[in-house]
Amino acid sequence: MKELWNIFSKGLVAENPIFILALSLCPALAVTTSVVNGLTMGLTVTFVITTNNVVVSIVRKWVNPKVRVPVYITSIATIVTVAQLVLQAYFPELYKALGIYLALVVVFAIILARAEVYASKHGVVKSFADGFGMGCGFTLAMLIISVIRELIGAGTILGMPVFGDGYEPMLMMVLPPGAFILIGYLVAATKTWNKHVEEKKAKEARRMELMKGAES
Amino acid sequence: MSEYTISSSPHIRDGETIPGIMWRVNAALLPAAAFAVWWFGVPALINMVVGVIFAVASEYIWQRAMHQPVTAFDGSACITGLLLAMSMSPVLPPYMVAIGSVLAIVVVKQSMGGLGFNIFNPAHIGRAALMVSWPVAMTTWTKMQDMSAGVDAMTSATPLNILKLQGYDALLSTFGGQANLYWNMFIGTRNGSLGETSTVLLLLGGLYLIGKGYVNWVVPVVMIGTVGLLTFVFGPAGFFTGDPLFHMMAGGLMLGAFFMATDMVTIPMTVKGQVIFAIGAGAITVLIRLVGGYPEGVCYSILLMNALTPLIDRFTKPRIFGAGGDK
Amino acid sequence: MAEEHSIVKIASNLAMACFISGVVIGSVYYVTAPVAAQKAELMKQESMKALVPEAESFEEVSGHEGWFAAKKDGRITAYIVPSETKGYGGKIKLLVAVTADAKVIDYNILEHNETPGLGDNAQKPSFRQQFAGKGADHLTVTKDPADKEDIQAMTGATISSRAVTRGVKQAVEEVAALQGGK
Repeated sequence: MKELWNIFSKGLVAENPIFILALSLCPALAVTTSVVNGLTMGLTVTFVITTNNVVVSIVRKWVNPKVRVPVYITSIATIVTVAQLVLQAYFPELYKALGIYLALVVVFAIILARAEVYASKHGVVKSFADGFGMGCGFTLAMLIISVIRELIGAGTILGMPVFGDGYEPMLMMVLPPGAFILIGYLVAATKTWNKHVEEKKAKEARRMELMKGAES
Repeated sequence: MSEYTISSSPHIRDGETIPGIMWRVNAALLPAAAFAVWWFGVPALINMVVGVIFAVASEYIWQRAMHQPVTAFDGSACITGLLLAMSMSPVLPPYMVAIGSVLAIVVVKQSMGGLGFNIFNPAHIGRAALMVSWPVAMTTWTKMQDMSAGVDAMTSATPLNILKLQGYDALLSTFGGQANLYWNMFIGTRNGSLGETSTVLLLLGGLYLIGKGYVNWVVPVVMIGTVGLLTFVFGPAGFFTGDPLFHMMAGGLMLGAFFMATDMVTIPMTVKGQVIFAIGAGAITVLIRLVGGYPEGVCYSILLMNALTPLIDRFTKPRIFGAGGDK
Repeated sequence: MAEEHSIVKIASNLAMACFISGVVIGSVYYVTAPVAAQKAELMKQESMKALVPEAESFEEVSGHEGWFAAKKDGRITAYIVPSETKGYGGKIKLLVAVTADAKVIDYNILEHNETPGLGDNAQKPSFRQQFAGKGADHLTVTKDPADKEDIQAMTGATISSRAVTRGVKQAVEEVAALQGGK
């Protein structure tokens, strides 16, 4: 159980797909102008990456290594198309808002990367945990970016006004330059945090060793 | 000496220090700034003070937080804040000036590594960021009560605005003839950004800096010359019918050419490179003014050429003597 | 191992993957397609209803592609006319609701590339409401705040204001031409 948790949780911060692995920056810039869009994109990617990891993990023994990448891509494309059809039928507004980026989920580097790096070498349960963790990390990042952008750039959260009428939204935040600058600082913040955590761990390990040494 | 400074040649020592130069650049801006306070009134003073305070304070806080040596009071942050306020409308809400100052210092200057490492002119990026953030406020100008020509009692359009939307004839009639237009543009009694109006005082400041040897004359002269030449050639009524004098004095050209395009950090190192830089900046300015959607293009032209500076440096770098083969 | 990597094996492997993928997508489409079509129709009706609230039904107008006639008590009270115009950032696509006697009711911007915060204010009620009840003769943009007859330009977005007004005017004139021809 502990192992599964570790596989899952590394996607959240330590190996966050956007802030640390820096894969799939395109959606992080393009669809995070509002919380609804960012969240929908995050959940869609979570669904696709988790399902794909499971599928790849199941079929990995039967897939000829020479055609594994085309097979993975076929699998991703199928899952994305299914997600697209479902959104179109039941949430047409969201489908319209995500536009071209929904179809582009197929080529998001993070999904193929997890299939190739992880799911093709591990069992179903572990692959599920990895995909779900990466998806959650992606969603978390999208949520953070879109909350900040919508709040400052439009003065709203989920479309509801937060500040009074006197607030004049800083439009740069919903435009591409704001996204670039914001993501830059968020990457810096995540790296600083990871460094801090690692230093703490190293200190702890040293202390344990010293104590052991003292005991013996 | 307990410290050795290793730097590239030539190693010439003189008494100049960074603060010394920076404070004198500030001083060179003062006449135009003082004129702005007289012409636009208290809001201009407030905006400049806010710009300077927030620029210096954010640099100080950043350097303390990052455990760096504090150089916030060397005058360079002060120039950034002052130039930013001077390149924008005097009736811009002060809090926007403050945000622009913080962005300029934190994002453009300190995050890039501080003085000497920024790719772009901080004040200009601050201005561009405000321009995309609050386009309405940034293009709202002072309501002019009384122009010395007295023809148009209440107008909030800048000369370049009038030119863009109503044409050259409307511009002449607003100011009451060509001689009046030139005189007002020269003295600075016209609408526009806070510190850009007074051609004569900016010229004085610029000439002082050139005379002191802090900036070379190449960039301002070539840039303003390019603007004059191109606006004359591509006039409103066909080739060679333009009004170069007006275009050279209009908008932020004087301010930009003398104080922003000469920022040593963000322009090419060699004279050849600086000539290319200045021609490019002048040409883009004219392109935006005559063809583009905005009435004024000095800010964007300098930023675009800032972006090209590393490339220009690469192509104009002097060859090391004896190294490298034939080109 | 030669057999393992034979071209037939590789090809059949890939073909199998594609076949499964096709079956999955096909079956999902079979379920969702009718729902999607229904939703799309509903959204279209709703957007037209928002433009002409009092209408009871909408019918396509023969001979004019994309036109809809809003009917009430069996009579045509308004037309919904698609219109296209060139704005500051490219094409602007509009859906304009015009009464049978060629007066504007309202419009809806379907697609645009105007500057956020300036030109895209054309969607906001403050600008849109000015159009209600106006005929083709007053559909011109003015920058004089005292002029209450014409359309007041949006601050800092004269080009977008003019473009939208031109698009609406086009639609009104087309309706007038249709009525005149009858």
